[in-house]
Amino acid sequence: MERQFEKQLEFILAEVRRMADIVGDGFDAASKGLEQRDAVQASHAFETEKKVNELEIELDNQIFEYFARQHPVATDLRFMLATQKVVNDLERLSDHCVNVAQSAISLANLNRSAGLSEIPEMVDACREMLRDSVDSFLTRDFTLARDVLMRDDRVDGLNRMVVRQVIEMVNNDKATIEIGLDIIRISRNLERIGDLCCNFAEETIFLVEGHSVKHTLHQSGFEPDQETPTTPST
Amino acid sequence: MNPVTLEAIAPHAAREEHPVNQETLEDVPAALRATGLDLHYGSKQALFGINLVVPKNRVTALIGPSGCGKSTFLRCLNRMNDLVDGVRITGKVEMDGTDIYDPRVDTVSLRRKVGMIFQKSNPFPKTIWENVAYGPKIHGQRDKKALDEVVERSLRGAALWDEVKDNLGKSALALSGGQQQRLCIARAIAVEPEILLMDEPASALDPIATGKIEELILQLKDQFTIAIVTHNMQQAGRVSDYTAFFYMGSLIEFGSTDTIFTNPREKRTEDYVSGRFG
Repeated sequence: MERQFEKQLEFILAEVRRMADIVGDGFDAASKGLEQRDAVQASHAFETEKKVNELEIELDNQIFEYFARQHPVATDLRFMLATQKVVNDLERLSDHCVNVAQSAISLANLNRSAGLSEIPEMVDACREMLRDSVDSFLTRDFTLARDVLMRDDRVDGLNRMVVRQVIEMVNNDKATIEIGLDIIRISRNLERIGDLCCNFAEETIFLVEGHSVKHTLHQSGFEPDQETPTTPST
Repeated sequence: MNPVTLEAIAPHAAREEHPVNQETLEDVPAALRATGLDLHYGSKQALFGINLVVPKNRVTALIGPSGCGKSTFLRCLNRMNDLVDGVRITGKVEMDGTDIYDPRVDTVSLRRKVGMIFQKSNPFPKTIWENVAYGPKIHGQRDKKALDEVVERSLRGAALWDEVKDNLGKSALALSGGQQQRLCIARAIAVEPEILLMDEPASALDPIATGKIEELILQLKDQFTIAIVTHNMQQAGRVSDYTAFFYMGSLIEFGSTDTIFTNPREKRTEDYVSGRFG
């Protein structure tokens, strides 16, 4: 017989899945709006953000109540702690999607076109990281979580590349500064989305293994703040 | 594809089973050491080869579903099972290097060193003072002033002195349930034992009285080694340093309470502490 607390755990898990799906919709709306220079498409990300915010409040209450009533221990305790963080990160991730959408709208409304540098590649990488990190958490898949963590370097590297290219573009043509700022904003937000996906993966490892791996993973090539641009001499 | 291990992606985290500032069992001397302990009630075996160290000046919780052998094991630690007809015990329980089941061991002396608190408080139908002074008296203390000192020290140790100091001549049976249980603890510590065994000492008490007993346990561990049987998982989590999980007469898992309640090794332990069976 399934007990009441197990039903509550299943309900919470289902709600996290629903929240992650909505965040995924927001990401798709923002990225398609960007790719197709479609402001209307991008603006759908704003609608998803409202739903995500509502779900965050609902899940916070569910988790709070579960702690108060059930006093979880062992795997249940780790699941609730990890879920609390994942819910918070999903909400932040939704905010980053909105930021991308805002810049996508700004770019779509410009009269002139500009190349998006490595942004499409970043979008693809982040989409896959988002999908796989959420799946790893929902299915407690350690291997997939580990794989996600290994992919973050690539997104960081692309972000640095975008920043360098934008600097070069603006140096060549000062009129592109507005476009350049939007591209950097998009790149920066995608890079943060990659980081948040890594948080999910770390929570999966904590959930499965019972150890925190935060601040213990130093993938090759990870150099904090290397994307900070230096102004070239003119 | 080779299996992915935590070691492979986070060697530092994987190695650190005992984070800084968290002691391991090897760091603490043993107050009692059970080795290969079997117990039979007639033809029925109730304990199967128990190997367990009770660490000195720590609180060790014994948990498990009803009938798992935890209380039986607790009673082995001061030979209380000797009083049960048809009991046969093999294996060893060592205290200070001596097997307490050695026939030369005096059980009265043993039980002075290893006191016991029961589920239901059992004060003698005497005054509060006489309850506490009873043990020292039967061990030969006759000096009234010395007995007064023992009574005060023991009642203070059991966090009861302030509540009863003006009524030491009152019947112990007039005290509340929680006070009676603390009186029993005062009576147990009056003979200056090394170890206190507690068999569900708060199961009949309300949350306030339970809280006082739990606070007391935490204070007492500075002076005594404590082994406590409890069905209350939250209580085990709150008061104990180490936890032993028993199931069907066997010790399934023993480790730091932090580990047992956050990341136990055995699935049966996990299922029990998280309320999936028992």
